Amino acid sequence: MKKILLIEDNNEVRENTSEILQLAGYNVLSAENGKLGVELAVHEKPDLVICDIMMPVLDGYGTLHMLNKNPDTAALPFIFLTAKAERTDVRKGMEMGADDYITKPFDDIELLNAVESRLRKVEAIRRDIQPTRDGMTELLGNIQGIEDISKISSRQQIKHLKKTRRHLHRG
Amino acid sequence: MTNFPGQGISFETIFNHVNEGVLIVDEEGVIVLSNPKLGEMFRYDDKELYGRKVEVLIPGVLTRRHEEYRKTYMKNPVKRPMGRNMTLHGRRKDGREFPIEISLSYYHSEGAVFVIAFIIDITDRFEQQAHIERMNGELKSLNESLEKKVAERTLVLKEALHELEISRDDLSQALENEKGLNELKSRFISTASHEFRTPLSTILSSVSLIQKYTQSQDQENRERHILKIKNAVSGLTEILNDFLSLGKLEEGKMSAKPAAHDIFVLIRDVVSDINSIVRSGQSITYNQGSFELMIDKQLLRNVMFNLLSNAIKFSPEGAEIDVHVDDEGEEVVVAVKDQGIGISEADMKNLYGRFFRGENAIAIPGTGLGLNIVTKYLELMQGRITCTSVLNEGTTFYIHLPKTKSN
Repeated sequence: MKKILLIEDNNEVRENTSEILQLAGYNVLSAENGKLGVELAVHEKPDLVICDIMMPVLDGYGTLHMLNKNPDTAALPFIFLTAKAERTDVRKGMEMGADDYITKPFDDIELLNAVESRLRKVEAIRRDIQPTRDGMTELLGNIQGIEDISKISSRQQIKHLKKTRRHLHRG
Repeated sequence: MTNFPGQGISFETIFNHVNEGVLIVDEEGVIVLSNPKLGEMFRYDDKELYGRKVEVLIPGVLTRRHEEYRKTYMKNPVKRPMGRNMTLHGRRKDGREFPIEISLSYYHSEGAVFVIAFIIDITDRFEQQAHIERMNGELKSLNESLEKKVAERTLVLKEALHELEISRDDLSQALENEKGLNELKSRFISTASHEFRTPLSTILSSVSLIQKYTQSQDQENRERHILKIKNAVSGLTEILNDFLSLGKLEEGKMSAKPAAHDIFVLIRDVVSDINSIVRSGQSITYNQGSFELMIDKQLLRNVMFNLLSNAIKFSPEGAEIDVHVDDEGEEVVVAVKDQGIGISEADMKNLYGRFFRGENAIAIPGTGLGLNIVTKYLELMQGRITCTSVLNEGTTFYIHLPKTKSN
């Protein structure tokens, strides 16, 4: 059962969202602010994070930043679920590295589809590497690839990197 | 000097042909000699003037004065050249006067004094002068009228400038207002967006969930979500009411309708109503007493409801909220004290501004309208609000209500 971390300060929205996810067969952990959310993410290693933006203590942007900084959580699929519906808000969220951005009020199907597709993507990446010699070679190849990317970013060709990331989001 | 071109010209020739009138008068003012030019000037025949007093050549009104003058002069004669800026007039035989210039000189002969006068007719010059003066006058008046016109135009310009300044000020004022309005609008949109979207999320997700609970044993879940929807709707209605009362206040459609009420009873009623929304463990205390005040009951209820729901919203669970009514002479002061998050000094300035949310209140739901509406209500009641606060310790709002009976 996939584990989803839900970070949302409004009680009703948190309860309902959690209920929708649970009825769809997910194991849901929830936190009422970003700080608690980051702690849960580190300890519980969820498969995906759904996070509000306007929250007390630590807001959604801060939460995403903290998760990105920690190597253990940096790869977690991250979805913003927020009342901030302006185009500029959406761009900011995506540019910070969110994988999806859903505005309130949200449709349950929309949310479930977003969650499912993010999880499937992660699954697809994982499944590609089989626990065989070939898989091992491929993994090493990937690592090589990662090094290449970090080289590119160290040369500050960030534009290129961003483009690559955007393609990833769209996929 | 025996042979020169003028030889043979007698002084008589000069006397007879010179262009100045020449006149010799004895001590008594009697004309003893005059040349033809003088006769021509004064329209007398040759020698007609001989033996007559010089005053015959003086304008009538001046003859007496001239006699006096002449007598004084004879006692102490002096030479006087022409053109000393004196306007003198001669009198012709026909009585007509004309401007002249005179030079005076004298000589002694056989113990007597004789005065020689050279006279020129300056009618032309006089007329020219008069003309020049007239022209000058005209020029001057033209100048003056020009100056006046310039002054008038300057004034018009000044007025136009002033009007321009006023309209510029009006414009910049309008621009400021427009800017303020715009800012208000954008703040309204962002507030409304957040405050509406959150309860709408609850409603939509509860509806989705009700749809999923299709079995009859799910009735409890359905009811749970129906309650959530109802709460969310009433939350939305409250926000809407805030906006509406703000609109009404803006349009000046509200006024205070004071009547005699016991303030303690009013406070007790509000507290008992609001007790239904306190968070877990929170309690509201209030002091007992009795004091009758002329007051608009509904407005005071709204003010108290607003302040108390703020106290509840910004205080943690289990916190105590205290309401205290005090008679302070000219006014009654109601203090609402909470143990909430407090208000920073920087936020104090804008506390009562429309759509204003404190820096530490951003994550707490609210429209930023409550305190703005409270101040407007208090204005209607001729009251006012003050506040003291310590961050993370709590806030106390004081509403000051005047005791005036006429209110």
